[in-house]
Amino acid sequence: MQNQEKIIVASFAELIASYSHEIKNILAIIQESSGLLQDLINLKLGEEFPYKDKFSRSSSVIEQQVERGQILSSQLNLLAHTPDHNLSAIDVGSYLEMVVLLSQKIARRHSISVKTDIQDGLEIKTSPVKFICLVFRCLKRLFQAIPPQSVIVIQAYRQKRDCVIELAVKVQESEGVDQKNISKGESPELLSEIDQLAQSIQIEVKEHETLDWIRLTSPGDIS
Amino acid sequence: MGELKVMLVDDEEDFTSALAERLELRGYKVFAFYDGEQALEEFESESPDVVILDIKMPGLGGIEVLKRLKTINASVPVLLLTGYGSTEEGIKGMQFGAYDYMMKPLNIDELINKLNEALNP
Repeated sequence: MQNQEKIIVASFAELIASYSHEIKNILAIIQESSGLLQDLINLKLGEEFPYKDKFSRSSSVIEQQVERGQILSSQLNLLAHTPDHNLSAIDVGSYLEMVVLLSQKIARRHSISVKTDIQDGLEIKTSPVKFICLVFRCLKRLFQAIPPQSVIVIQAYRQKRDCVIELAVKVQESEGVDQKNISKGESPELLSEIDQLAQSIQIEVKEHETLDWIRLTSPGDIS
Repeated sequence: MGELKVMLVDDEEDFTSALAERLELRGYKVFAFYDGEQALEEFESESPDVVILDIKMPGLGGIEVLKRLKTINASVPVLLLTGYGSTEEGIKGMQFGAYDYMMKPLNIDELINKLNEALNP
C-alpha cells in the first residue's frame, strides 16, 4: 500500500477504534441502567407492580440488544486494529466471521443470508486489511448479482498446501430460478477492484461461469 | 461480619452510579469515584475490601491508579474493567497486580462471582 493510502487507512481506523470503544461504554450504561430497573422490579415491592411481566420482557429485549451491540462493536474494534499489521499470520475463520457479521446489514437489505462453514485452525500470512477488503468485495459482487432469498455459504478449508475460501451460492428452488440463469450483473469496477486486491496479496480468484461460486485460493505456507 | 466495602472507579458517571446502586441492592457498601486521583486520595481513609477500576479514564489512567493502589496497600484485590474489544489491556493490568478483569458491558452475576472469588481466595 502506498504511503499516503496507509496514512488515510490508519486515520480512519483510529477514528473507528475510538468510536467503537465509545459505543461499548454506551452499551454498558444501558445495560446497568436497565439492570437496575429490573432489580427494583424484582424487589418484594415489585410484586404489586401491575406491568411487571411487560417490564421484564422489555428488560430482556434490552439485554439481548446490548449483547448484539457488544458483539458488533467488538468486531468493529477488531476491524479498526487490522491496519496495525502490514503482513501477518491471520486466523482465517476469525476474519471471515468478522466480515460476515459486519456485512450482515447489507446482506439483509438484499434479502440474502450468509453462512459460514470454516475449518478450524486455518492461518494464512497476508495483509489483514486487503484480505478483509477482498472478501467483502466478493460478497458485494454476489449481493449485486444473485436473486433475493439466496444463501451464500462461505467455506474455508485446506487443500494440500493451499487455503481455499469458497463463497458458494444456493438459490431457493421455490423461487423457480434456475442457478444457471442467475444474472451476472454488470459491475466492471467491482471486478477490477477484486482483481487488483487479489493480485496485490497473491490470492487467486476464480468465478464460476454462472456465479455458482467465487473461489479464493491462498497458496502455500499455512498451519 | 459487616458489609463488604467496594470502591468503584469509572469516569462514566451514569454507568458508575447505576452499578453502585445495583451493588448496594445486593448488600455491598459502595464508594464511587469518577476519577483516579480522587479515588487514590480517599483509598486509605475509606479502606475498601475490593476495588473495581476502569482501565481507560482521562487524566490518571486505570493502570497507573492500579500501580499506586498497590504501593499503598498491596493486599486489596483490584478488578479491572475494560471496554476494548481485545483482552490485552486486562492481561497487562494483571501483570501489574490486578486480581482479574472483565469486559464491559458487565453481567452483574459474573461480577458478583468475581468479587466473591477476590474476597475469598
